[in-house]
Amino acid sequence: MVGGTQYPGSIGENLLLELRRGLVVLAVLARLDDERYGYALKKDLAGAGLEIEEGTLYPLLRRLEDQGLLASRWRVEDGRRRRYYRLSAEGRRIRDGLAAEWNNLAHTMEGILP
Amino acid sequence: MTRPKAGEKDLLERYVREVGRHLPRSRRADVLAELRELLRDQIDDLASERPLTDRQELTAEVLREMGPPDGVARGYAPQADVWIGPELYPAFRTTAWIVLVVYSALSGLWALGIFDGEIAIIPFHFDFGTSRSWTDVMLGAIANVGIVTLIFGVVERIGHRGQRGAASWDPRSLPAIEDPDRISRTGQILRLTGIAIFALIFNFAPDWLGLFVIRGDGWGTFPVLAPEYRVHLPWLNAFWAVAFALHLAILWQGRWCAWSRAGDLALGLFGAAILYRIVIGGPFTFLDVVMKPVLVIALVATLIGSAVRAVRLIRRAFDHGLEPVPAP
Repeated sequence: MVGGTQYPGSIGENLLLELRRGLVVLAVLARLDDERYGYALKKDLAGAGLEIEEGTLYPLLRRLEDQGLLASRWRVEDGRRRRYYRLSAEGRRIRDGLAAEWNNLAHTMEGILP
Repeated sequence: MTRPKAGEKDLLERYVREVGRHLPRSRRADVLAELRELLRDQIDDLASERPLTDRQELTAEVLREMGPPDGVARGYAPQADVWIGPELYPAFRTTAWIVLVVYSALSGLWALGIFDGEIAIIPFHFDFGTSRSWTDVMLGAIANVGIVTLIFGVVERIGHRGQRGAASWDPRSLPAIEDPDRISRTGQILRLTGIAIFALIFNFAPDWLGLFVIRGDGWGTFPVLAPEYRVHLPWLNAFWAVAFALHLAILWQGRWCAWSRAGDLALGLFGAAILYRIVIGGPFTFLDVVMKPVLVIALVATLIGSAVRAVRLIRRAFDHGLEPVPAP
């Protein structure tokens, strides 16, 4: 599980944070072909093995929306009014490009890592 | 869905409001509405896992995981570097408003010809000499608010980073939510009594307003009000009558609302107009050398108070329309 790894010391933690930052964006974009609200997305990603802190995920959704990668709307479900997010056309295009780049990098890193 | 209990709701609302204090007004309501629901989802989820644990305890746990409100607000800030971040934003806004209100009040007095001079409180400079034009006054306002912005920008970069650890943060330390519309019935009754006493003394026993003097044959009073004060009496009576009616209506309603706040603002401006009339008019008391400067200070305080109330009223109308703000 990605989120469960612990690195003692601030240098290790900072490097891990940096490594995860771009990864989290790609993971969020990858899971929003279908409409989801913040907490459902968090649980979905956790179920897939990626733990993201709420304080990171919820603001990230807003920022991605500000950048035009996500679209959102308020919807009432089970008596609860929630904000649902899904990929925009631009978000899908960016997500596909990032995913291709990720696959290339993963393949390359397999050859680099000891 | 579980209905939130009083303690849990209170803690949740205190947290959400504290996050809101650090967010720009333009996106505050929308972000907070979403954040509130997301936190409720988490609390419900945790409660279904641990049904025997107190919900307030679970709320505190969820909020602790979420982290300090200013840190969460920082996450909602645009990615681009900002001049003043969410942590300092509330203090910056308050300081800028204070500077602007004081400057505006002095501008008003300068325009009325009551104030002429300059005040320098480093790094601020309020210059209202007779040679100044309205353009100079406007540029002065921009310059003084600019100084506040500059100072906070510098502090943002060098002053406060990393002062507080998220690990030590406790949600129970969040400030309580005050109900801005609640009135104190006792305070309101005392206010009505004060208005009535003032009106009765000015109309029927002006000699009672004076200095008590002890003489050899007993004690007496030295009246303060000059006979000419009666020129202002019709205006003062109108003010007291409106004030009495307004505060009686507020007492009857039990809470402040949009119309009573607007009425209070109008009453404050009416009072300022009467004070101005007294200040520029003839003698009002036998001690005008002392009393007139006191009245000028009261006039400035009234104008500043009215400006602050006007800004709050506009903000509330912007945030909630003319509907009464629900009690927290």
